[in-house]
Amino acid sequence: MASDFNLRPAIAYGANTTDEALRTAAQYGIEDAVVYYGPGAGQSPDFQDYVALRLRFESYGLKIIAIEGGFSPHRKWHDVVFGGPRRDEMIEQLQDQVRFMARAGIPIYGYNWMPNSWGRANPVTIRGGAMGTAYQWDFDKERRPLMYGEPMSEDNMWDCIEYWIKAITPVAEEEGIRLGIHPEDPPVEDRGGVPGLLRSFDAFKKLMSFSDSHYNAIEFCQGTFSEMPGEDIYEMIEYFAKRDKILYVHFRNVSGQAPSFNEEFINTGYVDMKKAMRTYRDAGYKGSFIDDHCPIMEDDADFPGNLGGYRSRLFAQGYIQGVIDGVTREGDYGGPVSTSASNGGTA
Amino acid sequence: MRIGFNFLASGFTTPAGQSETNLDDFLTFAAQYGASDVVLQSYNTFGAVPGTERWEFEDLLKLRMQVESHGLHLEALENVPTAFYDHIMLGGPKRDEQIENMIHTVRSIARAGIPIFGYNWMPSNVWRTSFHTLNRGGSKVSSYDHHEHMNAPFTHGREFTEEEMWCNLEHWIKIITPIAEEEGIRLGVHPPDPPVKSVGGIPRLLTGFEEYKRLIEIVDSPSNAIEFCQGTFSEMEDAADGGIYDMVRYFGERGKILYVHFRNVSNPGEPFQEEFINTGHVNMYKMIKVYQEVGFPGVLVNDHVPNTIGDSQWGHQGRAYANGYIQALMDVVAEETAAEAEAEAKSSPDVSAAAGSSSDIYGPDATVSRGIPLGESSHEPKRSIFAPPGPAMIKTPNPAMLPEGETDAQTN
Amino acid sequence: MSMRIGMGRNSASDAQAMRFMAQLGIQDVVLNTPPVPVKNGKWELVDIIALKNRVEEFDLKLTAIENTQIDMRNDLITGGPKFDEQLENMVETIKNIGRAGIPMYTMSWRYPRYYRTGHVDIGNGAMGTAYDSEVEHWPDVLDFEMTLESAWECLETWVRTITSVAEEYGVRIGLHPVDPPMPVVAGVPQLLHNFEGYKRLIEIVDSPANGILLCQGSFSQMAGADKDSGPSIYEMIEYFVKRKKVLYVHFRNVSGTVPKFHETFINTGYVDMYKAMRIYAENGFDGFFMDDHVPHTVGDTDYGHRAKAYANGYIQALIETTTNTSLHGAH
Repeated sequence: MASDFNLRPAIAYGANTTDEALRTAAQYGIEDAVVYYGPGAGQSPDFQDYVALRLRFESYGLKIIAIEGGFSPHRKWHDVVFGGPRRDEMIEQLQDQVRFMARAGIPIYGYNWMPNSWGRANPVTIRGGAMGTAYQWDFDKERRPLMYGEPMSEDNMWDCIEYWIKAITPVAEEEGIRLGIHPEDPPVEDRGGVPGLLRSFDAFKKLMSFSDSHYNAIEFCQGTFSEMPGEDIYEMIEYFAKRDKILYVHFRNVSGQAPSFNEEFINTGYVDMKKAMRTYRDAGYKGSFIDDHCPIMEDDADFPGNLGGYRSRLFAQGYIQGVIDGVTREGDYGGPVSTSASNGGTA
Repeated sequence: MRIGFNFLASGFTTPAGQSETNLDDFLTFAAQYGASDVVLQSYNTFGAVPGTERWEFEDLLKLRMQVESHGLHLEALENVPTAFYDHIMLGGPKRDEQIENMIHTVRSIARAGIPIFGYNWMPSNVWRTSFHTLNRGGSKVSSYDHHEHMNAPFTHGREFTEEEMWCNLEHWIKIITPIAEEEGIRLGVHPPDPPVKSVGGIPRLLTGFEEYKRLIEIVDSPSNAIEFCQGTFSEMEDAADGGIYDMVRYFGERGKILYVHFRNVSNPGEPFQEEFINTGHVNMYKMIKVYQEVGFPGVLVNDHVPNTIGDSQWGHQGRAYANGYIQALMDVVAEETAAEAEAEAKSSPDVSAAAGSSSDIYGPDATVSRGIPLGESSHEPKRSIFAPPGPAMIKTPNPAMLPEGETDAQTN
Repeated sequence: MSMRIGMGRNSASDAQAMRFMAQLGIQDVVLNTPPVPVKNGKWELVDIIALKNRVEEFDLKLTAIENTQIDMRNDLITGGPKFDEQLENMVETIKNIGRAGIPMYTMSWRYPRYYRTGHVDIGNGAMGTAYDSEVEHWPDVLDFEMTLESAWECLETWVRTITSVAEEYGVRIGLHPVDPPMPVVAGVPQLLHNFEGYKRLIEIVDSPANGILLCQGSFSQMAGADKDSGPSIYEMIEYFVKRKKVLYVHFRNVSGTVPKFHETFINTGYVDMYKAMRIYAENGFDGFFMDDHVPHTVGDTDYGHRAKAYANGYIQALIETTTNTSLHGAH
């Protein structure tokens, strides 16, 4: 039965979103939300903030399936990323944050490990004059200064992330909240002298090896995973889904892999999204898919806290719902329709 | 009874950091809407008045002068930063140092000619579970459901006991009350909001009728009184079945009500949500009559209001609405009181009439600034200890009087 | 042969509207009653070509004109006094449409018009149109009597006349049902309100140019469409797709059939849209699907950009998943 698969659409919101945005999800029957929030550059939220946030979303029939937020891009937390004198103090604060989220009833915290933050160059024009974000490493290499005056050691960063995982996972376990890290976006060797640690299949296998725990998992940005040079996206989906390491999925598409790519509409990128969805299904993933970044369409009202307006986002949402419906129902019929007269569909 | 507004002394800044209204504009707003009095808030944060450990006389005097320059009266200061007194509440190592500083602050407030200081006893402040609960027509209110906070982590590292918290409170009340009395200032404790037994490991203490009786019995003095947040009192379980009126009557008769936060909530106990002034469980008309009955001549201010369409973040239109409602209730009750007195005077002609000749509380016959004419009804309100500060209580600014421990208070 | 994605608009003059379609990757544009000037009761070739060029400015393809202005064709349906004049003018118009290279002309064979009796809240304030025959009180609109026989005579004359012209000029004609699909509306017999009506239509002349605008929404509103004995909506789709009579599909969903129903989101009606899509695919459908009426959701325009984007995304996903192909050749 289709519902046995439990694959669901979700929308990503900024924490200060509007009532209209929340009501939109309610009207379109979307029940899961990911909220960009958590410890950041300024003051971190407290327990009450997380409770109030969750209840606000619930009043629109939305369940917050995850808080998503990177603390690593902010210098404030860099002692944790690179090792430094205030590392343990910072880790304690982050443990508190994880505790607050857990007690407030949040099941997942997704974050990233990108001291250089998310990287993009100038956007490009895609179909019909819509705009997609883009990245070219050559462009970036020439322009980005060294973050700390000299290249940072990749080995040291691996040591630090291992230290972090071993410190945070027991707390996550105790509190019952699953944690996952978003891959390096774009997944290139280094930017501004800072190595991009989590930029490959192997990197994530290594990350998972630091702790076997159910609570040490992956914020599976399929978009970024599909940017990883030389990797097979379907293989990675299957591998991690089978091991129950996928917390939730950023279901977006791109034109190709790093070092040079741009974002695309959900069904105009190089990834066959239905094949991807079949892979999640067959590997036993049961969870949500968010629309993530959407192209900028003309005359589209901003969707607060996210890239891509209402129309663009709802197009992606309709597609996601359609792909989920198609892929979960086709089992009743033994697979997609094979029309001998059709002009050779790709599998 | 007089009507007032409650403002943040440093002006209102939105959570996003934008300055929305400064104090002068607030005071203009209050004067335009017919308030006579103002209570100035600090919301337990820094910034309202300079000082990271205590407040100084000149700063407080400046505040009072600023209020008076708008033709308004500064009736009370409400709250100091929690960091001024958290060790006093929790019995921490800096307790004695903080007590010394608080004594200084209380004296400074008194000498700046401000008659009331209200404060709370909440180391972890006010708790709410939601700020987006939908009320009438899509307006938004805050709400509280303790079930959501049952797993709150400890706010101060451990679970505190009721005994130790009461101990700390009693210690403080016994020290500060005689000093306050001597300085001619009245102190009042605001109830914990919400008044649940405990949250985050800290017992909330003043959560009901018995608890407040216990507070005022620690030291029997006009300076050990209550900052009567009627809103929070009506959240108490004791407010049920008419209990809210009983509590106002009890404390009002004993002259323990310093001033009133006049707001309404959906129901006693939790979970509850805030309501419009006239859509909650308390009959606000009946309430005004009870205040009248016990002769409360102090100030009523509006408090939290629902957030309605087009309103500022502070809530100008919501508060103007509440203020108008309170004024109307006061006018009606004043009319009724005057009419009753007139009827009585007619039926017993020897009692000198002139009762309620001015039912307009702002009319020229008002003998107290914008208050109900006093002494003209046959019902004698117990109000002698509530008289507004006469000239004798307003000190001339003389730096020689500032040092702590100064006992020459020059009161009458 | 492949199934494609389309979208409709009532004019090509709004550049933003055209770019909206281009950005969503629309392969077939339908223009509903575009404001082409009516000159002596017809459309002239030069004006139709201008329209087509306008659409092509945006790298879009104008595949179908859906309806000319009503007063070019209302007497064709009712047998009114201008029947012959309108028939002649429509023949010329169709020729010009063919000359302009537009492959389809579709028309609603109904009079007076599409209508609803109200709106309902379909959840959280989203509004769907509604029809309830008990609420409807439409007075008779004709001042002459129209019988079932005379109605069929009109339709048969139309089909017999236009089909050979259309064939010659490379145009396929498709007729849209009456909505709501009731046998009589405002005193006018409505022929295309059920399966039998459509069967008879395609038998008048057996030609690819005598086809159907399969408004799946309206078909699924037909009495009995929700029952196997109906025939069901699925059976009707299969019947006409098999016979290659369907030009394109208005792919929308509803809560139920006449006499009382309301419109829903594409995936919240009673029709199993995945099952429906498979039927098109299995029977070799080579036309396109468009979102049709959509619910009104918060903050949306009157045109329904947001809701149409959603419906269109859903349809693209169903097409791609059911046939395991890529609409846009990306992979």
